[in-house]
Amino acid sequence: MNKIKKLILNNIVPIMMIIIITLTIPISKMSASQLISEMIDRMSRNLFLVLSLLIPIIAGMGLNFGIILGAMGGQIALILITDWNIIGVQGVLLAIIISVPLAALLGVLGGVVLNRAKGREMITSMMLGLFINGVYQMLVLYGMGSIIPLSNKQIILSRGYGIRNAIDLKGIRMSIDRAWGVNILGYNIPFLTIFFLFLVCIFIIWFRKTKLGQDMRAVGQDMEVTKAAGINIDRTRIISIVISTVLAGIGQILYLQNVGTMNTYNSHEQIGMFSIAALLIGGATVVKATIPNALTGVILFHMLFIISPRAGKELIGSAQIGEYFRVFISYGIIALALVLHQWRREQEKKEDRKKRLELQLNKKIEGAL
Amino acid sequence: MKRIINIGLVFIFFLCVSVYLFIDGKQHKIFLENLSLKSLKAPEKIIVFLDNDKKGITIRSEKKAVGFVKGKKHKIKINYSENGEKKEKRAEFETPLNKTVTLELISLISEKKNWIKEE
Repeated sequence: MNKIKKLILNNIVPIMMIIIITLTIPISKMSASQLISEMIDRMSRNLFLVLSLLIPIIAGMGLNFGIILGAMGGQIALILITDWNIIGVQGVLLAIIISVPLAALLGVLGGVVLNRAKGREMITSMMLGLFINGVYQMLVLYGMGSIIPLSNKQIILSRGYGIRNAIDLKGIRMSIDRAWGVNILGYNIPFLTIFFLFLVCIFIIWFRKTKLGQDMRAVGQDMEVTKAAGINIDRTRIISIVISTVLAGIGQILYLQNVGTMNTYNSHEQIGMFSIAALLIGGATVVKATIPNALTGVILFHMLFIISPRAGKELIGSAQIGEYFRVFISYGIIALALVLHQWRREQEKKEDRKKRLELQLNKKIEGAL
Repeated sequence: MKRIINIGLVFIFFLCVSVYLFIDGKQHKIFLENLSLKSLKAPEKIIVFLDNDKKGITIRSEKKAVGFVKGKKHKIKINYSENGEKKEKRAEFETPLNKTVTLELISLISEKKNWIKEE
């Protein structure tokens, strides 16, 4: 009985989500083929970003809200390739190459800041994201076209500098998704995107087994013991953030090539929240997250995305109600997961204290005898 | 020292890949002209197929059109009729990096050398 209770408690978030989705699907009146088609599209769109969150969790840095730093790097790369008129798969690959040093640089900055805020990484990374967002907006709004030379009039504001609010990525739209696209049973399977996702999964699995990966795990478990073992904690933590930020930059490029338009000033803003919500919905916690968690999370989170507006429309006649419901559920889940995490930690501490007291008591009794 | 060399090699590799992607992925705007020359009259209708384009661009006599191509080397196929007989012409051309190209289709049909103009 205790085992079942523990299993339910450990997976309370995905269980709740499955119940909500199971109840909502019949209300939305969506067919299975519609759902599958939408899911394939969204899986390839978002999974890379969610996977980028895994490595900092191994290093004990919690959920990296700072992935928006990488997303900004990716967007700057996309602005540049749009200005240079580089299209197709070549455009996406060039954007990825350009985004890597930008994201790595921002990742180092993030890592250094987070090292000064050990134990409060999540809120610090969130605030850092907001701060760098200001710098990004200043660069894009005032620097591009004046300091950084751009020539494409379609993306520059009429005043001669600054980037327009929305950029049409028609040159690279779906280029990766369609490159090795195969039609199976009427569904378009984006094989190249799946290949990219497969590569990042393999990278994460391989990385965990390397010396650096083991160091990260050790840092995540106990910093004092790791320090005593001679591992450079700060360096290890910075590397984990750099990897996460670089992967997020690539993830943002893959996401935007699928969508086909970029909101220059706010495409990246919600990425952190979205990805973290998806990961938590998949059953991950602040201290433990796996590839299956990411996969399950993306499926459940996007299932809710697809069906809730339809369900709202069918139930009350307004899709907006369903959208409010989705926002309430998805962000409520983040809050619930964080509260559960804290509650579990408190419980563990209580049990620890109880065990220690019992041990002390036993020693006293033995001494008295 | 070995580490610096390795980093340098990786940097050079990615630089080369970037240059290749830049050249191979660059989109070029091409102006297509179906204008009569002094001695040659432009065909009534020309259909131009650039690279793997299947739809084609139709240009009437004395008109111009715009086409888009990706990369450096291209193929062009034009379909037209001459004295009621359907004809086809194929050719290859290159687009320079930062220049606009104008193709004089009538010169291409009449197999003149200067059918590509760079601006």
